[in-house]
Amino acid sequence: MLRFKEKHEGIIKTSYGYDIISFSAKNRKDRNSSVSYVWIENELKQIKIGFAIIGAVKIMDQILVTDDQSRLWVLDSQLNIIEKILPDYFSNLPDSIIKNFDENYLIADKGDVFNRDYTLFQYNNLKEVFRTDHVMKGFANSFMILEMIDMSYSGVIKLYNLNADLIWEQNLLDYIELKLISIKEVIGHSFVVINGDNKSISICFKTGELLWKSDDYLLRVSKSNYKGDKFISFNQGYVEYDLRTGQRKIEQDVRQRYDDFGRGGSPSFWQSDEMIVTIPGRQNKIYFYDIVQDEMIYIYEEKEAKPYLSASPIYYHEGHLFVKDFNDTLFVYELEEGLANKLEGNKTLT
Amino acid sequence: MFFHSFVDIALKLKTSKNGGDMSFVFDNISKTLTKLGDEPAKRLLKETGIQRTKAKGCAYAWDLIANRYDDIAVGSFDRFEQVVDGPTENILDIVFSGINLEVKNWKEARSFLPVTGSSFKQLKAYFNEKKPFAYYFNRNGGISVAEPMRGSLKNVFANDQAMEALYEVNEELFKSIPGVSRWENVRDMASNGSTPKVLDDFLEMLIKE
Repeated sequence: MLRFKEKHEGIIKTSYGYDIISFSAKNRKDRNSSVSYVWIENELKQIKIGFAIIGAVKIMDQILVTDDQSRLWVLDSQLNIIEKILPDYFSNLPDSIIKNFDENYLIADKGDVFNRDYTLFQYNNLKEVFRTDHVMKGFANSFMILEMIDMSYSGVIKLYNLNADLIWEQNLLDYIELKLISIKEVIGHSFVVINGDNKSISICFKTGELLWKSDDYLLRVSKSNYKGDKFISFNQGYVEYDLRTGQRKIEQDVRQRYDDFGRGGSPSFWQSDEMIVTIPGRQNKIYFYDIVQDEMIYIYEEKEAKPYLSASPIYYHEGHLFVKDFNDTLFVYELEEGLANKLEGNKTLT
Repeated sequence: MFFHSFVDIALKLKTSKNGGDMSFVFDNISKTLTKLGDEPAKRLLKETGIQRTKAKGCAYAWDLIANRYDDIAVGSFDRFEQVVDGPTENILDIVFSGINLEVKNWKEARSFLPVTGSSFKQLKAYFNEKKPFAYYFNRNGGISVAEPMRGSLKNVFANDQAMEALYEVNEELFKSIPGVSRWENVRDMASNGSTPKVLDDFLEMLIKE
């Protein structure tokens, strides 16, 4: 059901977003000889362009990439360099690109951690749309400013549409302590803020209203699908959350039935509407869980992994599965059609 | 044999004001059974009995489980396990469904560096697991080991090679620090004369006592 295709050593960075997947083997002693791999035309093409590709997105017939110093480069479809853009700026692909129907937008920053400006650009003409000295985060059809005072979040957040019109302003400190936070988007619906104490809140995109508060630690490892109608986790079993309340509405405990799997659970997974692929901690096994059948329909053991397979990355793309081990070796597998079909359609965000 | 080992270790529970007192030992057994249930408690006691050479580390783990369970637990208790990678001196890994804890009972702080050493490799392995984790260091004779260990971890973050390596395996964790979007940001914070509070928060999340 899963056929080993190839492996590559020294892969230190992986990127998946907007129909392109890339891997880089950075040469620390000689940056110019760094090697990258990009999945194009059903194969992993090796390229050497003088730097390691750290992030990549496909825009029309071009590929926008960031190098190991977070600088932006435009490549053609054959991965030849066309130009370096915004040379004074840094950016983090694929997170910093906002793909919209009519126009693409790019978030880039300049300065250092003590004194930094973020700018939203229209991508096609690199026209500046909005600039701030606070933190900027992009969503599917909007962007958010998180106000910073003395290098900490003040609590004030502002959501803008892509014309830079303010939609709403909110103070999150009314609901949650903003210490060491991560923000997860439920596309078109809401975003979830999780802090270092495993407290979470959900805020409605449309109104800025608090939807719910939760102490559920599993929300830290949860994610939305691309439709924005599901928010799920798969730690020791399948959990699906009610987007309106933050409560667990479906809970299928796998741990009791697959003892090997349940030992510690997994912080990471790949999901389609039908199936979840995951690698539990400190193991060399890849588990394929059928959500409807509520069982592992396939378990693959990678005996070459050293010492364990890493929980992430775990990417499915065009009939292939991509995972890494702790020793930075990338393993690429080809999936048989039945398994691949179950992984197509309405995937989760990475 | 098991019982003798167990009592040896139990008597090393000096972290409590009642350390060495048998009533305290039996109190801990009772609390452990209550918190973990019969089977996990038996596993801990068995592990403690086997680990004669790691007595102090086990004793501290036992003390945490028995007396501070609600502070340290995230999710449900899963198991005890030896290290991911690296040194095995005085350590015991407590695995919860939501966090892995590395318990150490060191006399004094040590360095995580060099990057080729086993301490750094173990630290990197924890970052690489992607699961939340924390080190717990016992106070030794009332003196904090955790505090200087946070300094040791800050030194790791200030080291280019080490910081880049950790960021590469788990950038999401570092990005939870306000304003961080590249490994150089963390290095710059750690190298700064006065440590920004946001970095202190991060260090306190990873190293506890």
